[in-house]
Amino acid sequence: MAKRKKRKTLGRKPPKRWRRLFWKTTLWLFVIGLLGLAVMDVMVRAKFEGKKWALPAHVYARSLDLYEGLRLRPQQLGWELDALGYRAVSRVVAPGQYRRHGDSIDFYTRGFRFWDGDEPSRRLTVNFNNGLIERLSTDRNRLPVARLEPLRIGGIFPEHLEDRELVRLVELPPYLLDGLLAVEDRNFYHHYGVSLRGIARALWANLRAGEMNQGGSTITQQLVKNFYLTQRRTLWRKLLEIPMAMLLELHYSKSDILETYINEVFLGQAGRRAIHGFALASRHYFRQPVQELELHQVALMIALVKGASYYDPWRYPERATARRNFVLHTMQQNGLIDGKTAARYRQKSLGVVAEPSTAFNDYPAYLDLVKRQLQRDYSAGDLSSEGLRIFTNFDPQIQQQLERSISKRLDNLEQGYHIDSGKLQAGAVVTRVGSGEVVAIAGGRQPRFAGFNRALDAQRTVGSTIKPAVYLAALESNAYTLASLLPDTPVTVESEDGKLWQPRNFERQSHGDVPLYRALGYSYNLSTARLGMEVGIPVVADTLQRLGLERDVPQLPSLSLGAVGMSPYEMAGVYHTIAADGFYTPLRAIRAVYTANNEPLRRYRYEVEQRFSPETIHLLQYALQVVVREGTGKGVYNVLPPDLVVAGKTGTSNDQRDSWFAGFSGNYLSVVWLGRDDNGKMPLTGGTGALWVWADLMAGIDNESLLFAQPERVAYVWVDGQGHLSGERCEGARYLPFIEGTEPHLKGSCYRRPLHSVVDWFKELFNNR
Amino acid sequence: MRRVKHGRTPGLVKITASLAATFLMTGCVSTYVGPATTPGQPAPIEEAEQPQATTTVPQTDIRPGDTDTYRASSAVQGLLTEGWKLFEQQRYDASASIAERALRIDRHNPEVYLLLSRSYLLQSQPVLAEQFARQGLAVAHSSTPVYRQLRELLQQSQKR
Repeated sequence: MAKRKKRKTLGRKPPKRWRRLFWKTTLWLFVIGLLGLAVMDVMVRAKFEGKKWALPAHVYARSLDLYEGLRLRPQQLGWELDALGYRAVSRVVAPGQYRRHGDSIDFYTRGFRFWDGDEPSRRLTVNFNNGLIERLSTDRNRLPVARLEPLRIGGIFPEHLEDRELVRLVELPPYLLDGLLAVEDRNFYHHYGVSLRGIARALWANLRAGEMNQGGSTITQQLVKNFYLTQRRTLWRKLLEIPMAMLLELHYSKSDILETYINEVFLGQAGRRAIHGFALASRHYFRQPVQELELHQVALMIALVKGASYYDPWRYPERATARRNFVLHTMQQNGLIDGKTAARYRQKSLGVVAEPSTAFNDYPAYLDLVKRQLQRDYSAGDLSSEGLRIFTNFDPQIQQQLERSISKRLDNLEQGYHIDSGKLQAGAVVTRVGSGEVVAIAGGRQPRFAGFNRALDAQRTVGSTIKPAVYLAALESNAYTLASLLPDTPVTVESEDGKLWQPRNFERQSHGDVPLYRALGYSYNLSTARLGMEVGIPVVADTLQRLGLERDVPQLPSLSLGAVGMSPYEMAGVYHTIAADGFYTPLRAIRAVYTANNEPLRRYRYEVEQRFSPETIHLLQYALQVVVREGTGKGVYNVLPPDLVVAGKTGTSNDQRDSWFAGFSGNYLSVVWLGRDDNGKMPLTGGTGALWVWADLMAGIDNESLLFAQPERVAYVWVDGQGHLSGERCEGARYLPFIEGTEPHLKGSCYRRPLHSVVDWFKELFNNR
Repeated sequence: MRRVKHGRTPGLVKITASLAATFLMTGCVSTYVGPATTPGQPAPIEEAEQPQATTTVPQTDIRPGDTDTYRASSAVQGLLTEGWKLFEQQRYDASASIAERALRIDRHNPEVYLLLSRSYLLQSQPVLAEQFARQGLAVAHSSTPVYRQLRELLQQSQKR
């Protein structure tokens, strides 16, 4: 047998089984790849076509109504305009600009879509005189009323704390889109998601510059990275980016991709809140809507795309300026702007606001109330993901005054009374009278701290602030008038379990028989306790609930002296009914809710119910004026002007653990509580503690006097200290209101019958002989 | 017959007349202020027992407010005009919203409550309409047309 020639091994085909294995593997990889692509395709489309983002709800303050006669100073209007991002200019020509000259301010409003109609964008002039708006005009024509767009005060964020404000491509300012493409993706309209030319160009540019000036990723790739993948620089991510970018381009138009990009791109950090999208970034850096940005501001925003933290204009202004100027140079190179324009804008400063806002929400106590009220109608998921626009009654200027008053007075009180620094805490609520709109809330001494909300949740013993409920119950029974004498003498009440309750007056003295208005005005405990027992504790409890307390209270004799816990918010609800002449209205923080597209969704309307007669309330309001004119609250007029008519009540709990003041003017009501979180004793009463915060607050806001209109069934009569008819010139006489039919008929020694005619005079003359 | 001496009679009449005139003038400038001026039967006035002691209380002047000089502001008038236009267009929720805006400026204008009450009545909300009518009546003068309109509205809303 001839030997088989050895075949050379080189160039020999692999054995059949290897080839089979190879093709099998390739086929499997292909199938897996196809499957992966299919899955990727579903993923890309599902997210792009579904709800792209969990949009936070944006919360806005009240819109400021401007009209002739409004108490407003030029500085206050200036503050509002600055807060809204209006720019001071020498000539007002466009929305978002203002000019102050002497006692006038010209400004160009932005316009806004309100529930009840559109407020147009227009140029307005406000002339001031003596702290009032003297004239409001547009194009020299007098205008009865106009309103500014509302200021954003916070948001309700999704778990990932991304914040964004959606904007459409058509709403972008000139140069932003073209500038962005020139810098980030010149070939955007020509590639299919990935640009080899772009990669090569970027590589060459970076080699020449010696640094990473340009990236090779397209806008589409960047969107994929931010929208679907992670920021981690891994090969796997890079590999996924390319097919996903191509799938995106396959299914969606360039406009869709671009619009998603401008709303997705990360452009900064505000504390824990991530700033996404150009619209929100514009407000974050410049406090202006994106439509109003000038070229150098647009260039800075484009500059930040490369690295918002690295080019942070507050921390690294030189880097930010250099990058911005690079953007301007690129725009010039691409023919978007000429050399002169580029040179001019390169000289400008960055134009960012002085300080970034890092607070999650600047007014957490108020936002807390807003959320609670919204949760009655919306799920937590909807609130933090649907981009709802929530318009509230919040007044930022009143809030600021409230915070200033608390800060100043608590420091002073701690020093003056040798209380450990920081031990005193506060909770306060301010509402409009009549509509029950909550305009300001202080949850504690540190207003930016989103901790325990004392205004809403601190259940503190109310002490004498409850007394108006006792006296109202008494006056309503018609068995008592303001002149009725009450015994302010020691009283002992035995409870069912044999315990004795022996209330005492604050100064440990009895006062004998005192008129009702004085017992309330001077906050006598003995007479109040007796009165509460006479009227009936269940009646007092019922009156308290009719005033607005929405829960049961322990029906014990000590209720009449305030042995019950309430929050400042609950107390405000009770006093609001008194301030609003007997009409109960539930307190509310929200005016309206709009969708993310600014379509009206729901209006929170004003609701009211008459629960007490105007006559009875008039008597009670009289007595509450005695409190502040002569009684335990008279300190208010050390701060307030004497011609400002207000009414209120002090409150101090046992052992002085709580200091309260609740009071109102013609247009605002405020309740202030001071105390210690550990419920420790303080050397403060309502009159020496909370009253000062209240008075400072009311002195710093624009109050109207309490109108105190006389109802038709109320008559004023001069009475003496015994409640008998008297005369104006009689010593000790007082001019008191009485409900028709309850006027006294016993005449005091000083009384003279009124002489309506000469005949009466003669009759009197002869009768007295 | 006793004859009247002409010299004395005129003198006596003059003196009596002068005294009467003096007392009359004194009575006219009396500073005493009577009791209730509201309509209705005045209560019978009786002598009170003499007080044991006189308590002197500090006097502060707390008087009812002057509502006679009230004038609606041009802002509220402007809003009411707009509000009534929306009402005529049957946009009742919008008219109520405008009325609320007017309320924030001036809560003592009865016409604002008239607009609110009518707007809610036509939205089949008689309870709210009634309450706003009540609120309007509490601030309106009884002699004014708006008071009568509010009274009518109150009756209408109570019937529904």
